[in-house]
Amino acid sequence: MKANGGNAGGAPKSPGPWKAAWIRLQRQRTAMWALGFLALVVALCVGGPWLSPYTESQQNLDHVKEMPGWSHWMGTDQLGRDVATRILFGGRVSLLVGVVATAVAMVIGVVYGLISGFFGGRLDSAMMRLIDILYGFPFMAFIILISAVFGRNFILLFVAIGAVEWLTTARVVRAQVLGLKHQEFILASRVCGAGSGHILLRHLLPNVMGQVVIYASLTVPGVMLLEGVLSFLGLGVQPPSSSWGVLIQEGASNMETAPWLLFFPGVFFVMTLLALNTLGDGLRDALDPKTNREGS
Amino acid sequence: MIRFILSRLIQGIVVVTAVISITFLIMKAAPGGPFSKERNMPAYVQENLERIYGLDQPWYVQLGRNLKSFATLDLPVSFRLKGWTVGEIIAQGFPVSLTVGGWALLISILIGVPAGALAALRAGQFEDRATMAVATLGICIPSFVLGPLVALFFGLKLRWFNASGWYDSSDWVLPAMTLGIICSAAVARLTRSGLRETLLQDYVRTARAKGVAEKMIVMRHAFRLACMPLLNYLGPLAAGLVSGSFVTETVFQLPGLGRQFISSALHKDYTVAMGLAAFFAVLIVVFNLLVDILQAWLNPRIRLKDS
Amino acid sequence: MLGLMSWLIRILLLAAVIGGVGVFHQWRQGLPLRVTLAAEKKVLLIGNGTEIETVDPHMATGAPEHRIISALFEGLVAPATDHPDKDGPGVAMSWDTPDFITWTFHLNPKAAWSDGMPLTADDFVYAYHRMLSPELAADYSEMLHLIHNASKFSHGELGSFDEVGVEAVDPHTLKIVLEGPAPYFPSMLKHYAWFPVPKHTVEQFGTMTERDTAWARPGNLVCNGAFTLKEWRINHYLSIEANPNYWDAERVRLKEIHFFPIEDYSAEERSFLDGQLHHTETVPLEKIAYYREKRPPFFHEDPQLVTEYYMFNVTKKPFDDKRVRQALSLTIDRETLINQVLKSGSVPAKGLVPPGAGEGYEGPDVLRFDPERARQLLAEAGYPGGKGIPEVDVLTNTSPSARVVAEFFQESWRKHLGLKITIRQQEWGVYLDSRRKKTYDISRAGWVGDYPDPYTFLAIWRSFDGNNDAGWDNPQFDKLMFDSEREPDARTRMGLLRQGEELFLEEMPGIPIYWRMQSHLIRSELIGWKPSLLEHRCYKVIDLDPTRTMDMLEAKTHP
Repeated sequence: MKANGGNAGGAPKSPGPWKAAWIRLQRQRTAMWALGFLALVVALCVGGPWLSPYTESQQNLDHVKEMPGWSHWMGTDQLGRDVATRILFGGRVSLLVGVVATAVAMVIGVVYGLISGFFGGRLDSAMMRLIDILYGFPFMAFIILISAVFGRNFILLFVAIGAVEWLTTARVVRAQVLGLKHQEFILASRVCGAGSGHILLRHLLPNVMGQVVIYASLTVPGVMLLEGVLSFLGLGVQPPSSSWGVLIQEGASNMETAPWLLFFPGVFFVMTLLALNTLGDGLRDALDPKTNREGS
Repeated sequence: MIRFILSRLIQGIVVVTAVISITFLIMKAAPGGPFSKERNMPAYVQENLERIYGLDQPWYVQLGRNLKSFATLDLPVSFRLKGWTVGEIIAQGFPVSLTVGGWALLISILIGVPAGALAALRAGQFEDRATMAVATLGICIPSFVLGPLVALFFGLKLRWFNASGWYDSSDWVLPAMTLGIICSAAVARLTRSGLRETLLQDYVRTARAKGVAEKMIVMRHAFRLACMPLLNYLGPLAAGLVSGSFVTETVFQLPGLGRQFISSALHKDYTVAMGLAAFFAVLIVVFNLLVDILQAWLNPRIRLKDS
Repeated sequence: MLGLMSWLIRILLLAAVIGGVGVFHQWRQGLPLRVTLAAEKKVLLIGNGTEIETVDPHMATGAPEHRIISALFEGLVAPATDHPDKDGPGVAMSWDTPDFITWTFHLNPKAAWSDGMPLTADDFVYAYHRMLSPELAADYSEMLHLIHNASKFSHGELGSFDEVGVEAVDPHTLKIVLEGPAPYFPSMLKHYAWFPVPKHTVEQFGTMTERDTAWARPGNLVCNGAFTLKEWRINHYLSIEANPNYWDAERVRLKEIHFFPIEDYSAEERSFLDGQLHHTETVPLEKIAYYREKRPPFFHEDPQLVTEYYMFNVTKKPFDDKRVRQALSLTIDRETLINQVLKSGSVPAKGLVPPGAGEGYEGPDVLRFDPERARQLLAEAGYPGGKGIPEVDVLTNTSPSARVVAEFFQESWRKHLGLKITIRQQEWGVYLDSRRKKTYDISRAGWVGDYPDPYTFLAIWRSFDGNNDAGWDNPQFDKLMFDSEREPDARTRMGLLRQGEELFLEEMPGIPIYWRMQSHLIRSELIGWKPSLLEHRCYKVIDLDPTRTMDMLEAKTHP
């Protein structure tokens, strides 16, 4: 199965579209490298802090804003804390936020867009106007309200981020569905007596997944940076803990006097996102039911 | 077509009303009022102020009063900027945001679409990898980092433009460049993926097999369809850009609406926040309507009545 | 052949682009700086922080407003020409008082409104009437409450303003009777709450007590200061021009002043380096050390009457015990915080009242860093090693520097006392609300003096004061403040205030951290500018000398 899954194409006995996608993904070398790199970053963030001689909050006030050197590979911040250790600790939060909030946003967006586009009519109008409303109201005021009412709470952070990030996804998915739903293979399916649920899950969903993956890879960096901003507004990570978003925020204000405070968190952030995007592209190609027919 | 647009506009009124109401209720529910200062106000002053502005009335009365004044276009005055009406504030800020946002949109399309198309046509090759790596970098750089860097280099180092401020006719360049570069990265990625997907469609491959020049295929068929996800991304993005970005306006000291929007939310300036939210909602409604019309025009499979 | 042509065209195009950029570069490099052009035209360009809310002196509340309104209006007393913190003649040429209670001001007969109307004692009576009217609900009306019966009037308990202690004896003599002796009264009159407003203009656009009328808008505003309002574009700039009807107009050197509302410190710094400002409101915290060492000609540090402190919610356990409060204060190493972490040049606080607040006042010097003693005190209070103290909630606002300070304390209190601290950063409005509702354990706070007297720092700790967010209630302290309000002898009065401060520092409802130093970047063309504890500016003696330009290209190279 594993070896010949890819060339089976649209044959009826082919593996499910999801499994086929995984098999196709494995054949893409760059995507697999990216996956490996991501695994390494995750391992570093989870296990790395144990190897570090410093803790996240340990202040060394005689070594404030020290350049990268032997004892502190990536320098120290304005409270003399080891930047490398803080990056590794911060990665845990950022990766979690990035993946979970994006996943939440994507699930909501895809389901919403599929339903809206597929059923159309008044339901579609109402759902799309709701999106317009959500686009319109001031996010800042909303953040202030939830931070005041609920305080620092991680679940709420996901809710807050999820509440804004799914809107465009839903619109993109809906547009895809509108374009697909009058295509021959959907009509054929319908003629064969397939139910709406079957068409949505077996035919429409796999076809929109490619775009969704790309959109998700655009969402992740936005979400991670947003977490940093929100952290200063009383949501997000609790000081003295940090996240990449927080470190980049702090680094930006010290950009000219202590560039390493921005540089190193930035490098981790960009490298991880690069890997994630490469993986996203690979996934997109792998998920697209059309790709394998090209034989590329 | 006309019926469709009319019905959308009526829906738009509902959207704007809802946005005004939600904005008001959210701000009302959050702690602190428009008169909170570090120095506490004597209780008697607070009471008088609330009476003067009707803040002591039930929330639905206040909401009704505000909705009425927006509906009759008799715009209320700001709580913070004493004596200025919401209309005057928007009228001063919008031209600035529109100029910067409009150019930023143009820049992001002019860079993003060709870059994305190049990457899609050379999928898997060096051009593709390099473009997408740069695009990822662009997506990752936050505007609060890129903005100061642009100001330092083109403003202070090269002295090509004012590092900040809104004095000369060329002052839109640096902020629009900052926003444009950041947005073009996302535009490039969406163009690539959209184009790549359509290039693999049956009829495009049929056309190719028939030997029609590839450029023609791309122009005629693929590109129209490839625009779909991009268009849906650009609609809200355009509304966001022309109504002003807070970070860019702060970094470059622009007197636009983005700064005003955030500061009204922070200072609990209910009337200005409602006015700006309503204004933004109108933009969203208009741009999303444009997107839906364009979409139906570009893709014959989508019918307007679906929308 | 064809290939060669196309290559030639490409090369030519490239050359044209490079040449174009080069020409553009040369042209742009040669442009004069905005500050140079402005200095030649005697136009001063100043960064002014947050956008102001109004130029109506009775509606205003903040420091940015103070800096603009004091150029547009003038009170009875004005910053002296030789030093802005001294009291010089304003609308009043001179004043006298037998007992610090009854004050007589002799108005300058040349004083006039900017539209040429004469300015008389009645205008001041009108202004104080307006300011104290409950219907206007002016934020700072409380500042006028030291006038006899003013408090009653603004609480609506007095039918007529005639019973309030303000009287126009004749058009050029104003008598003010206070509730008690206030030797600092003249310096208080430099605050905009005490400025006159033109009756004829105010009532042209509405009634006396109507808010949000258009009288203070550009084009309408009539004022009495050295400058008049020219133009105001929101979040963009506000410009004022010399007032020819000002009584001291020939002394005024500048033709115009442009105030730029720049909230972002780094953006303001870039504007300065770009030659757009003669004077910045502040310097980004991260860059202060750099400018102090590398660019001393442009860097200025002025002490301010500002105390930054953390306060306890003393209504809550364990902070109802003064030993716990003292222990927390003793574990703060103020020197390290300011010199190593913030590097702001601010002064580590020795007490609550900053130096310079009141002539003849010598504050106590008791704040120390002594973790040993702190642990002892904590143990005496029944919490050895921090045992028994639940997680402490520290409230602060959202700025990055507020977070750094909070993290510093968090670690200090953890390390020395074993306390577990959570930091709660809240957006400004929410943070103020939490303070007021006392839903905090420890909160960051700051206090800006209104006039140079220790009373302005101490009075907020009276048990009934509206600004006592700590909930501290000490009858002995209230008594000391009450006595000082009625003490006619200046030295005895200072003694009472000092006793009050000593009591405060013993009871420690708040931990003073530092006395703020305000940093500015100032161009060398600007002359006659003097530092002030209260940001008073005597605009009429400030001048620009374009010949004193110092090469800023040097300051353009970045670290």
